[in-house]
Amino acid sequence: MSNAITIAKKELGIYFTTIIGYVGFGAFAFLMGLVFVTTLNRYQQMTQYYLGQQQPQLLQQLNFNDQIIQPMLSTGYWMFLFFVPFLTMRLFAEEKSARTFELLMTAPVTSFEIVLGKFMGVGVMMLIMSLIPLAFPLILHMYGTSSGPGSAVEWMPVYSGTLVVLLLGLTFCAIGLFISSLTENQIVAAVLTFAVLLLAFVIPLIAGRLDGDWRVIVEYISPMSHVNRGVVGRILLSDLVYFGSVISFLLFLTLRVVESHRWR
Amino acid sequence: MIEVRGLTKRYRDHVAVKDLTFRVEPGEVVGFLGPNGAGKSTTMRILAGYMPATAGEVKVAGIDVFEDPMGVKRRIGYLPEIPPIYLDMTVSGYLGFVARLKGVPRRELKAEIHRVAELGGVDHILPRLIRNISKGYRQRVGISQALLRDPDVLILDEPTVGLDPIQIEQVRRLITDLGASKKHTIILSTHILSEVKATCERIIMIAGGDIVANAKLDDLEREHNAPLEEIFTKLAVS
Repeated sequence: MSNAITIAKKELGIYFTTIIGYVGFGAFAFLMGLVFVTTLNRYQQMTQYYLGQQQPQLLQQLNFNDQIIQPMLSTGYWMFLFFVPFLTMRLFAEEKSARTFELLMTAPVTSFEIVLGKFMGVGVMMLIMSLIPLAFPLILHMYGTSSGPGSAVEWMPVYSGTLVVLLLGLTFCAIGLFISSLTENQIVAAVLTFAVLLLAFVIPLIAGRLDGDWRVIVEYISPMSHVNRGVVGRILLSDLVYFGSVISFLLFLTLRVVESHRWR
Repeated sequence: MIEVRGLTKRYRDHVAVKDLTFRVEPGEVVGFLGPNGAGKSTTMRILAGYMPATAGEVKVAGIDVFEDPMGVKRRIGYLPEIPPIYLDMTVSGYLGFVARLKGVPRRELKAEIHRVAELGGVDHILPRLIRNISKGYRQRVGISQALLRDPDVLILDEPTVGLDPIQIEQVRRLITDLGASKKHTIILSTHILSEVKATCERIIMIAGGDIVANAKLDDLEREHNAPLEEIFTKLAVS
Protein backbone atom coordinates (compact mmCIF):
# COMPACT_ATOMS: atom_id res chain seq x y z
CA MET A 1 0.00 0.00 0.00
CA SER A 2 2.82 2.43 0.82
CA ASN A 3 4.21 1.85 -2.68
CA ALA A 4 0.85 2.81 -4.20
CA ILE A 5 0.87 6.00 -2.14
CA THR A 6 4.43 6.76 -3.28
CA ILE A 7 3.31 6.41 -6.92
CA ALA A 8 0.15 8.47 -6.31
CA LYS A 9 2.25 11.27 -4.80
CA LYS A 10 4.58 11.19 -7.78
CA GLU A 11 1.62 11.53 -10.16
CA LEU A 12 0.21 14.46 -8.20
CA GLY A 13 3.64 16.07 -8.09
CA ILE A 14 3.95 15.88 -11.87
CA TYR A 15 0.47 17.41 -12.35
CA PHE A 16 1.69 20.44 -10.47
CA THR A 17 5.25 20.78 -11.78
CA THR A 18 3.73 20.82 -15.26
CA ILE A 19 0.89 23.18 -16.15
CA ILE A 20 -1.68 20.37 -16.39
CA GLY A 21 -2.94 20.83 -12.82
CA TYR A 22 -3.17 24.61 -12.94
CA VAL A 23 -4.73 24.80 -16.39
CA GLY A 24 -7.18 22.00 -15.57
CA PHE A 25 -8.41 23.45 -12.29
CA GLY A 26 -8.27 27.02 -13.54
CA ALA A 27 -10.30 26.37 -16.67
CA PHE A 28 -12.79 24.20 -14.82
CA ALA A 29 -13.34 26.76 -12.07
CA PHE A 30 -13.69 29.54 -14.64
CA LEU A 31 -16.27 27.65 -16.71
CA MET A 32 -18.23 26.66 -13.61
CA GLY A 33 -18.23 30.30 -12.53
CA LEU A 34 -19.59 31.25 -15.92
CA VAL A 35 -22.41 28.72 -15.62
CA PHE A 36 -23.16 30.00 -12.13
CA VAL A 37 -23.45 33.60 -13.24
CA THR A 38 -25.66 32.63 -16.16
CA THR A 39 -28.07 30.50 -14.14
CA LEU A 40 -28.16 33.08 -11.37
CA ASN A 41 -29.08 35.74 -13.89
CA ARG A 42 -31.89 33.65 -15.28
CA TYR A 43 -33.13 32.98 -11.77
CA GLN A 44 -33.26 36.69 -11.11
CA GLN A 45 -35.14 37.37 -14.33
CA MET A 46 -37.71 34.71 -13.51
CA THR A 47 -38.21 36.13 -10.04
CA GLN A 48 -38.78 39.59 -11.52
CA TYR A 49 -41.19 38.19 -14.07
CA TYR A 50 -43.29 36.29 -11.55
CA LEU A 51 -43.34 39.32 -9.25
CA GLY A 52 -44.60 41.44 -12.14
CA GLN A 53 -47.24 38.82 -12.95
CA GLN A 54 -48.40 38.83 -9.35
CA GLN A 55 -48.22 35.03 -9.14
CA PRO A 56 -47.03 34.17 -5.65
CA GLN A 57 -47.71 30.43 -6.09
CA LEU A 58 -45.16 30.25 -8.95
CA LEU A 59 -42.73 32.32 -6.93
CA GLN A 60 -43.05 29.76 -4.16
CA GLN A 61 -41.84 27.06 -6.50
CA LEU A 62 -38.65 28.84 -7.41
CA ASN A 63 -35.67 27.65 -5.38
CA PHE A 64 -31.89 27.69 -5.65
CA ASN A 65 -31.57 23.93 -5.84
CA ASP A 66 -33.74 23.36 -8.89
CA GLN A 67 -32.83 26.52 -10.74
CA ILE A 68 -29.12 26.89 -10.07
CA ILE A 69 -27.38 24.00 -8.34
CA GLN A 70 -28.85 21.16 -10.32
CA PRO A 71 -28.09 22.68 -13.75
CA MET A 72 -24.59 23.46 -12.51
CA LEU A 73 -23.87 19.89 -11.49
CA SER A 74 -25.20 18.60 -14.81
CA THR A 75 -22.98 21.01 -16.74
CA GLY A 76 -20.09 20.09 -14.46
CA TYR A 77 -20.05 16.46 -15.43
CA TRP A 78 -20.41 17.31 -19.12
CA MET A 79 -17.13 19.17 -18.77
CA PHE A 80 -15.43 15.97 -17.58
CA LEU A 81 -15.72 14.84 -21.18
CA PHE A 82 -12.96 17.32 -22.00
CA PHE A 83 -11.00 17.39 -18.76
CA VAL A 84 -10.65 13.67 -18.03
CA PRO A 85 -8.74 12.70 -21.23
CA PHE A 86 -6.45 15.66 -20.51
CA LEU A 87 -5.72 14.24 -17.04
CA THR A 88 -5.45 10.54 -17.85
CA MET A 89 -3.68 10.46 -21.22
CA ARG A 90 -0.19 10.58 -19.75
CA LEU A 91 -0.63 8.05 -16.94
CA PHE A 92 0.79 4.99 -18.71
CA ALA A 93 1.48 6.27 -22.24
CA GLU A 94 4.12 8.70 -20.98
CA GLU A 95 5.82 6.04 -18.84
CA LYS A 96 6.13 3.82 -21.87
CA SER A 97 7.37 6.44 -24.32
CA ALA A 98 9.87 7.85 -21.78
CA ARG A 99 11.00 4.31 -20.89
CA THR A 100 10.34 4.95 -17.20
CA PHE A 101 7.98 1.99 -17.34
CA GLU A 102 11.14 -0.14 -17.19
CA LEU A 103 11.96 1.47 -13.84
CA LEU A 104 8.55 0.66 -12.37
CA MET A 105 8.67 -2.88 -13.69
CA THR A 106 12.14 -3.59 -12.27
CA ALA A 107 11.47 -1.94 -8.90
CA PRO A 108 10.19 -4.17 -6.08
CA VAL A 109 6.60 -3.07 -6.69
CA THR A 110 3.63 -5.20 -7.76
CA SER A 111 1.56 -4.41 -10.85
CA PHE A 112 -1.45 -3.91 -8.61
CA GLU A 113 0.38 -1.23 -6.63
CA ILE A 114 1.33 0.54 -9.85
CA VAL A 115 -2.27 0.57 -11.15
CA LEU A 116 -3.74 1.51 -7.78
CA GLY A 117 -1.17 4.27 -7.26
CA LYS A 118 -1.88 5.81 -10.65
CA PHE A 119 -5.63 5.66 -10.06
CA MET A 120 -5.27 7.24 -6.62
CA GLY A 121 -3.16 10.04 -8.09
CA VAL A 122 -5.68 10.98 -10.75
CA GLY A 123 -8.50 10.26 -8.27
CA VAL A 124 -7.26 13.01 -5.95
CA MET A 125 -7.27 15.41 -8.91
CA MET A 126 -10.86 14.39 -9.60
CA LEU A 127 -11.79 14.83 -5.93
CA ILE A 128 -10.49 18.41 -5.93
CA MET A 129 -12.29 19.06 -9.21
CA SER A 130 -15.58 17.75 -7.82
CA LEU A 131 -15.26 19.97 -4.76
CA ILE A 132 -14.81 23.17 -6.81
CA PRO A 133 -18.57 23.50 -7.64
CA LEU A 134 -19.35 23.42 -3.89
CA ALA A 135 -18.13 27.00 -3.68
CA PHE A 136 -21.28 28.20 -5.45
CA PRO A 137 -23.96 26.77 -3.12
CA LEU A 138 -21.81 28.24 -0.35
CA ILE A 139 -22.09 31.69 -1.93
CA LEU A 140 -25.86 31.24 -2.22
CA HIS A 141 -26.02 30.13 1.39
CA MET A 142 -24.12 33.18 2.58
CA TYR A 143 -25.76 35.84 0.45
CA GLY A 144 -29.08 34.38 -0.70
CA THR A 145 -32.34 34.76 1.17
CA SER A 146 -34.83 32.04 1.87
CA SER A 147 -38.59 32.46 1.78
CA GLY A 148 -38.92 30.32 4.87
CA PRO A 149 -36.69 29.98 7.93
CA GLY A 150 -33.23 28.38 7.69
CA SER A 151 -30.74 28.20 4.81
CA ALA A 152 -31.62 29.29 1.32
CA VAL A 153 -29.92 26.14 0.07
CA GLU A 154 -31.14 22.66 0.69
CA TRP A 155 -27.90 20.84 1.42
CA MET A 156 -28.72 17.15 1.04
CA PRO A 157 -29.16 17.23 -2.77
CA VAL A 158 -25.94 19.24 -2.98
CA TYR A 159 -24.02 16.55 -1.10
CA SER A 160 -25.56 13.65 -2.99
CA GLY A 161 -25.07 15.47 -6.29
CA THR A 162 -21.41 16.12 -5.53
CA LEU A 163 -20.95 12.48 -4.54
CA VAL A 164 -22.37 11.06 -7.78
CA VAL A 165 -20.49 13.60 -9.88
CA LEU A 166 -17.31 12.48 -8.11
CA LEU A 167 -18.16 8.80 -8.70
CA LEU A 168 -18.86 9.50 -12.36
CA GLY A 169 -15.55 11.38 -12.64
CA LEU A 170 -13.68 8.46 -11.05
CA THR A 171 -15.36 6.06 -13.48
CA PHE A 172 -14.22 8.25 -16.37
CA CYS A 173 -10.70 8.34 -14.90
CA ALA A 174 -10.66 4.54 -14.75
CA ILE A 175 -11.67 4.44 -18.42
CA GLY A 176 -8.87 6.90 -19.29
CA LEU A 177 -6.34 4.97 -17.20
CA PHE A 178 -7.20 1.74 -18.98
CA ILE A 179 -6.94 3.30 -22.43
CA SER A 180 -3.63 4.97 -21.52
CA SER A 181 -2.23 1.54 -20.59
CA LEU A 182 -2.92 0.31 -24.12
CA THR A 183 -0.73 2.76 -26.01
CA GLU A 184 2.59 4.60 -26.00
CA ASN A 185 1.11 7.65 -27.64
CA GLN A 186 -0.53 10.26 -25.41
CA ILE A 187 -2.54 11.82 -28.23
CA VAL A 188 -4.00 8.45 -29.19
CA ALA A 189 -4.87 7.83 -25.54
CA ALA A 190 -6.60 11.21 -25.23
CA VAL A 191 -8.61 10.89 -28.45
CA LEU A 192 -9.71 7.32 -27.70
CA THR A 193 -10.71 8.25 -24.17
CA PHE A 194 -12.71 11.19 -25.47
CA ALA A 195 -14.49 8.92 -27.96
CA VAL A 196 -15.40 6.34 -25.32
CA LEU A 197 -16.63 8.99 -22.89
CA LEU A 198 -18.70 10.56 -25.63
CA LEU A 199 -20.27 7.16 -26.17
CA ALA A 200 -21.24 7.09 -22.49
CA PHE A 201 -23.09 10.36 -23.01
CA VAL A 202 -24.79 9.12 -26.16
CA ILE A 203 -26.09 5.82 -24.78
CA PRO A 204 -29.10 7.43 -23.01
CA LEU A 205 -30.20 8.89 -26.36
CA ILE A 206 -30.15 5.40 -27.82
CA ALA A 207 -32.09 4.09 -24.81
CA GLY A 208 -34.79 6.65 -25.51
CA ARG A 209 -35.50 5.03 -28.87
CA LEU A 210 -35.80 1.52 -27.46
CA ASP A 211 -38.74 -0.25 -25.82
CA GLY A 212 -39.27 -2.81 -23.10
CA ASP A 213 -36.45 -4.84 -21.60
CA TRP A 214 -33.78 -3.47 -23.90
CA ARG A 215 -34.52 0.01 -22.75
CA VAL A 216 -34.08 -1.01 -19.10
CA ILE A 217 -30.79 -2.78 -19.86
CA VAL A 218 -29.27 0.01 -21.94
CA GLU A 219 -30.35 2.56 -19.36
CA TYR A 220 -28.69 0.55 -16.63
CA ILE A 221 -25.44 0.33 -18.58
CA SER A 222 -25.27 4.08 -19.12
CA PRO A 223 -23.55 5.90 -16.25
CA MET A 224 -25.73 8.93 -16.95
CA SER A 225 -28.98 7.46 -15.67
CA HIS A 226 -27.21 6.69 -12.39
CA VAL A 227 -25.93 10.23 -12.12
CA ASN A 228 -29.16 11.99 -12.95
CA ARG A 229 -30.90 10.51 -9.92
CA GLY A 230 -28.10 11.64 -7.62
CA VAL A 231 -28.09 15.16 -8.96
CA VAL A 232 -31.71 15.65 -7.93
CA GLY A 233 -30.95 14.23 -4.50
CA ARG A 234 -31.77 10.55 -4.79
CA ILE A 235 -28.97 8.04 -4.56
CA LEU A 236 -29.89 4.39 -4.59
CA LEU A 237 -27.65 1.64 -3.30
CA SER A 238 -27.74 0.17 -6.80
CA ASP A 239 -26.11 3.35 -8.16
CA LEU A 240 -23.23 3.03 -5.70
CA VAL A 241 -22.85 -0.65 -6.56
CA TYR A 242 -22.88 0.25 -10.26
CA PHE A 243 -20.04 2.78 -9.98
CA GLY A 244 -18.05 0.58 -7.61
CA SER A 245 -18.21 -2.43 -9.89
CA VAL A 246 -17.49 -0.51 -13.11
CA ILE A 247 -14.41 1.11 -11.56
CA SER A 248 -13.18 -2.22 -10.14
CA PHE A 249 -13.66 -3.93 -13.47
CA LEU A 250 -11.73 -1.24 -15.37
CA LEU A 251 -8.89 -1.32 -12.85
CA PHE A 252 -8.81 -5.10 -13.20
CA LEU A 253 -8.52 -4.78 -17.00
CA THR A 254 -5.70 -2.23 -16.60
CA LEU A 255 -3.95 -4.60 -14.22
CA ARG A 256 -4.13 -7.38 -16.80
CA VAL A 257 -2.59 -5.10 -19.45
CA VAL A 258 0.27 -4.11 -17.13
CA GLU A 259 0.79 -7.73 -16.08
CA SER A 260 0.94 -8.80 -19.73
CA HIS A 261 4.21 -6.85 -20.06
CA ARG A 262 5.74 -9.23 -17.57
CA TRP A 263 5.20 -12.30 -19.71
CA ARG A 264 5.41 -10.91 -23.22
CA MET B 1 26.26 -14.31 -7.64
CA ILE B 2 24.69 -14.40 -11.09
CA GLU B 3 23.99 -17.76 -12.65
CA VAL B 4 22.57 -18.05 -16.14
CA ARG B 5 21.83 -21.42 -17.68
CA GLY B 6 20.44 -22.10 -21.13
CA LEU B 7 18.92 -18.64 -21.46
CA THR B 8 16.95 -18.18 -24.68
CA LYS B 9 14.75 -15.29 -25.72
CA ARG B 10 12.63 -15.39 -28.82
CA TYR B 11 10.53 -12.49 -30.17
CA ARG B 12 7.99 -14.09 -32.47
CA ASP B 13 10.28 -15.58 -35.18
CA HIS B 14 13.44 -13.66 -34.23
CA VAL B 15 15.85 -15.24 -31.75
CA ALA B 16 17.54 -12.47 -29.72
CA VAL B 17 19.68 -14.68 -27.47
CA LYS B 18 20.08 -18.42 -27.66
CA ASP B 19 21.21 -20.83 -25.01
CA LEU B 20 23.42 -18.47 -22.98
CA THR B 21 25.21 -20.00 -20.01
CA PHE B 22 27.55 -18.08 -17.74
CA ARG B 23 28.36 -17.30 -14.11
CA VAL B 24 29.48 -14.16 -12.38
CA GLU B 25 31.19 -14.64 -9.00
CA PRO B 26 30.55 -12.31 -6.03
CA GLY B 27 32.65 -9.15 -6.18
CA GLU B 28 33.51 -9.58 -9.83
CA VAL B 29 33.27 -6.87 -12.49
CA VAL B 30 32.28 -8.43 -15.77
CA GLY B 31 32.00 -6.73 -19.12
CA PHE B 32 29.27 -7.87 -21.45
CA LEU B 33 30.72 -7.12 -24.81
CA GLY B 34 29.24 -7.33 -28.26
CA PRO B 35 28.33 -5.41 -31.38
CA ASN B 36 25.01 -3.54 -31.56
CA GLY B 37 22.06 -5.90 -31.77
CA ALA B 38 23.97 -8.84 -30.29
CA GLY B 39 21.41 -9.38 -27.53
CA LYS B 40 23.15 -7.47 -24.74
CA SER B 41 20.18 -5.35 -23.69
CA THR B 42 17.80 -8.30 -23.92
CA THR B 43 20.00 -10.30 -21.55
CA MET B 44 20.29 -7.35 -19.17
CA ARG B 45 16.52 -6.87 -19.15
CA ILE B 46 15.92 -10.50 -18.33
CA LEU B 47 18.50 -10.40 -15.53
CA ALA B 48 16.74 -7.35 -14.07
CA GLY B 49 13.36 -9.06 -14.23
CA TYR B 50 11.85 -6.68 -16.78
CA MET B 51 10.96 -9.41 -19.23
CA PRO B 52 10.80 -13.17 -18.97
CA ALA B 53 12.96 -15.59 -20.93
CA THR B 54 11.53 -18.03 -23.43
CA ALA B 55 13.63 -20.78 -21.88
CA GLY B 56 16.42 -21.17 -19.37
CA GLU B 57 17.20 -20.36 -15.78
CA VAL B 58 18.48 -17.15 -14.20
CA LYS B 59 19.55 -16.94 -10.57
CA VAL B 60 20.68 -13.75 -8.89
CA ALA B 61 22.15 -14.14 -5.38
CA GLY B 62 20.77 -17.66 -5.36
CA ILE B 63 17.21 -16.50 -6.09
CA ASP B 64 15.42 -17.56 -9.24
CA VAL B 65 14.28 -14.48 -11.21
CA PHE B 66 11.18 -16.21 -12.54
CA GLU B 67 10.10 -17.75 -9.24
CA ASP B 68 10.74 -14.82 -6.91
CA PRO B 69 11.14 -11.65 -9.01
CA MET B 70 10.49 -9.41 -5.99
CA GLY B 71 13.34 -11.02 -4.06
CA VAL B 72 15.71 -10.36 -6.95
CA LYS B 73 14.49 -6.82 -7.58
CA ARG B 74 15.19 -5.93 -3.97
CA ARG B 75 18.86 -6.89 -4.39
CA ILE B 76 19.74 -5.32 -7.73
CA GLY B 77 20.39 -1.87 -9.07
CA TYR B 78 19.56 -1.56 -12.75
CA LEU B 79 20.42 1.12 -15.26
CA PRO B 80 18.57 0.50 -18.54
CA GLU B 81 19.92 1.53 -21.91
CA ILE B 82 17.88 4.74 -21.81
CA PRO B 83 17.97 6.24 -18.31
CA PRO B 84 14.45 5.86 -16.83
CA ILE B 85 14.02 9.43 -15.63
CA TYR B 86 10.99 11.68 -15.33
CA LEU B 87 11.69 14.98 -17.05
CA ASP B 88 9.11 16.78 -14.91
CA MET B 89 10.70 15.91 -11.58
CA THR B 90 13.64 17.48 -9.78
CA VAL B 91 16.76 15.37 -9.33
CA SER B 92 16.16 15.03 -5.60
CA GLY B 93 12.44 14.40 -6.09
CA TYR B 94 13.25 11.65 -8.56
CA LEU B 95 15.89 9.99 -6.40
CA GLY B 96 13.51 10.22 -3.44
CA PHE B 97 10.74 8.57 -5.43
CA VAL B 98 12.93 5.65 -6.54
CA ALA B 99 14.34 5.31 -3.02
CA ARG B 100 10.83 5.02 -1.56
CA LEU B 101 9.93 2.39 -4.17
CA LYS B 102 13.05 0.45 -3.25
CA GLY B 103 12.01 0.57 0.39
CA VAL B 104 14.45 3.09 1.87
CA PRO B 105 12.95 4.09 5.24
CA ARG B 106 11.64 7.65 5.41
CA ARG B 107 14.13 8.85 8.02
CA GLU B 108 17.13 7.61 6.03
CA LEU B 109 15.80 9.09 2.79
CA LYS B 110 17.73 12.36 2.83
CA ALA B 111 21.06 10.80 3.70
CA GLU B 112 20.61 8.08 1.06
CA ILE B 113 19.75 10.61 -1.66
CA HIS B 114 22.87 12.60 -0.83
CA ARG B 115 25.04 9.49 -0.74
CA VAL B 116 24.09 8.29 -4.23
CA ALA B 117 24.01 11.82 -5.67
CA GLU B 118 27.58 12.31 -4.48
CA LEU B 119 28.66 8.98 -5.98
CA GLY B 120 27.00 9.85 -9.29
CA GLY B 121 28.37 13.40 -9.22
CA VAL B 122 24.98 15.09 -9.27
CA ASP B 123 24.90 16.38 -5.67
CA HIS B 124 25.23 20.02 -6.80
CA ILE B 125 22.15 19.86 -9.09
CA LEU B 126 19.70 18.17 -6.71
CA PRO B 127 17.04 20.94 -6.79
CA ARG B 128 17.03 21.24 -10.59
CA LEU B 129 14.32 19.95 -12.89
CA ILE B 130 15.59 16.95 -14.89
CA ARG B 131 14.12 18.53 -18.05
CA ASN B 132 16.67 21.32 -17.72
CA ILE B 133 19.85 19.29 -17.21
CA SER B 134 22.20 18.00 -19.90
CA LYS B 135 22.24 14.51 -21.35
CA GLY B 136 25.38 13.60 -19.44
CA TYR B 137 23.81 14.63 -16.15
CA ARG B 138 20.66 12.69 -16.96
CA GLN B 139 22.78 9.59 -17.49
CA ARG B 140 24.47 10.19 -14.15
CA VAL B 141 21.10 10.62 -12.42
CA GLY B 142 20.27 7.20 -13.89
CA ILE B 143 23.46 5.75 -12.44
CA SER B 144 22.76 7.33 -9.03
CA GLN B 145 19.33 5.75 -9.09
CA ALA B 146 20.84 2.31 -9.63
CA LEU B 147 23.06 2.77 -6.58
CA LEU B 148 20.17 3.44 -4.20
CA ARG B 149 20.01 1.13 -1.22
CA ASP B 150 23.50 -0.16 -1.99
CA PRO B 151 22.48 -3.23 -4.03
CA ASP B 152 24.52 -6.44 -4.08
CA VAL B 153 24.30 -6.66 -7.83
CA LEU B 154 24.61 -3.80 -10.32
CA ILE B 155 23.36 -4.25 -13.86
CA LEU B 156 24.49 -1.37 -16.05
CA ASP B 157 23.43 -1.24 -19.68
CA GLU B 158 25.87 0.99 -21.57
CA PRO B 159 26.57 3.27 -18.60
CA THR B 160 28.78 5.80 -20.42
CA VAL B 161 26.64 6.48 -23.48
CA GLY B 162 26.15 10.18 -24.08
CA LEU B 163 28.85 11.35 -21.69
CA ASP B 164 31.76 13.61 -22.55
CA PRO B 165 35.34 12.27 -22.15
CA ILE B 166 35.75 13.74 -18.67
CA GLN B 167 32.45 12.30 -17.49
CA ILE B 168 33.29 8.93 -19.06
CA GLU B 169 36.49 8.93 -17.06
CA GLN B 170 34.54 9.75 -13.88
CA VAL B 171 31.97 7.02 -14.43
CA ARG B 172 34.70 4.48 -15.17
CA ARG B 173 36.48 5.45 -11.98
CA LEU B 174 33.22 5.09 -10.09
CA ILE B 175 32.73 1.57 -11.47
CA THR B 176 36.33 0.61 -10.71
CA ASP B 177 35.97 1.94 -7.14
CA LEU B 178 32.71 0.08 -6.62
CA GLY B 179 34.36 -3.06 -7.98
CA ALA B 180 37.45 -2.63 -5.84
CA SER B 181 35.34 -2.56 -2.68
CA LYS B 182 34.36 -6.18 -3.51
CA LYS B 183 30.94 -5.52 -2.01
CA HIS B 184 29.18 -5.35 -5.34
CA THR B 185 28.94 -7.71 -8.26
CA ILE B 186 28.84 -5.66 -11.41
CA ILE B 187 27.83 -6.66 -14.90
CA LEU B 188 28.03 -3.92 -17.50
CA SER B 189 27.29 -4.05 -21.18
CA THR B 190 29.09 -2.06 -23.79
CA HIS B 191 30.36 -2.09 -27.34
CA ILE B 192 33.26 0.20 -26.46
CA LEU B 193 36.42 -1.83 -26.05
CA SER B 194 38.43 0.72 -24.09
CA GLU B 195 35.66 0.71 -21.53
CA VAL B 196 36.05 -2.99 -20.88
CA LYS B 197 39.79 -2.61 -20.65
CA ALA B 198 39.48 0.19 -18.14
CA THR B 199 36.92 -1.36 -15.83
CA CYS B 200 36.48 -5.11 -16.17
CA GLU B 201 38.39 -8.13 -14.94
CA ARG B 202 36.62 -10.55 -17.20
CA ILE B 203 34.67 -10.30 -20.42
CA ILE B 204 31.81 -12.23 -21.86
CA MET B 205 31.61 -11.56 -25.57
CA ILE B 206 28.41 -12.26 -27.42
CA ALA B 207 27.59 -12.04 -31.10
CA GLY B 208 24.37 -13.00 -32.83
CA GLY B 209 22.86 -14.12 -29.52
CA ASP B 210 25.70 -16.57 -28.78
CA ILE B 211 28.64 -16.47 -26.37
CA VAL B 212 31.82 -16.38 -28.44
CA ALA B 213 34.29 -15.73 -25.63
CA ASN B 214 34.23 -15.89 -21.83
CA ALA B 215 37.60 -15.32 -20.21
CA LYS B 216 39.86 -13.00 -18.23
CA LEU B 217 41.06 -10.14 -20.40
CA ASP B 218 44.78 -11.03 -20.16
CA ASP B 219 44.12 -14.70 -20.81
CA LEU B 220 42.10 -13.89 -23.87
CA GLU B 221 44.79 -11.66 -25.37
CA ARG B 222 47.47 -14.23 -24.60
CA GLU B 223 45.43 -17.06 -26.06
CA HIS B 224 44.76 -15.27 -29.34
CA ASN B 225 48.09 -13.50 -29.29
CA ALA B 226 46.40 -10.31 -30.43
CA PRO B 227 45.00 -7.11 -28.86
CA LEU B 228 41.33 -7.06 -27.82
CA GLU B 229 40.33 -4.95 -30.82
CA GLU B 230 41.39 -7.64 -33.27
CA ILE B 231 39.85 -10.45 -31.24
CA PHE B 232 36.59 -8.54 -31.11
CA THR B 233 36.48 -7.93 -34.84
CA LYS B 234 37.38 -11.55 -35.56
CA LEU B 235 34.89 -13.12 -33.13
CA ALA B 236 32.04 -10.70 -33.70
CA VAL B 237 32.07 -11.28 -37.44
CA SER B 238 32.56 -15.04 -37.45
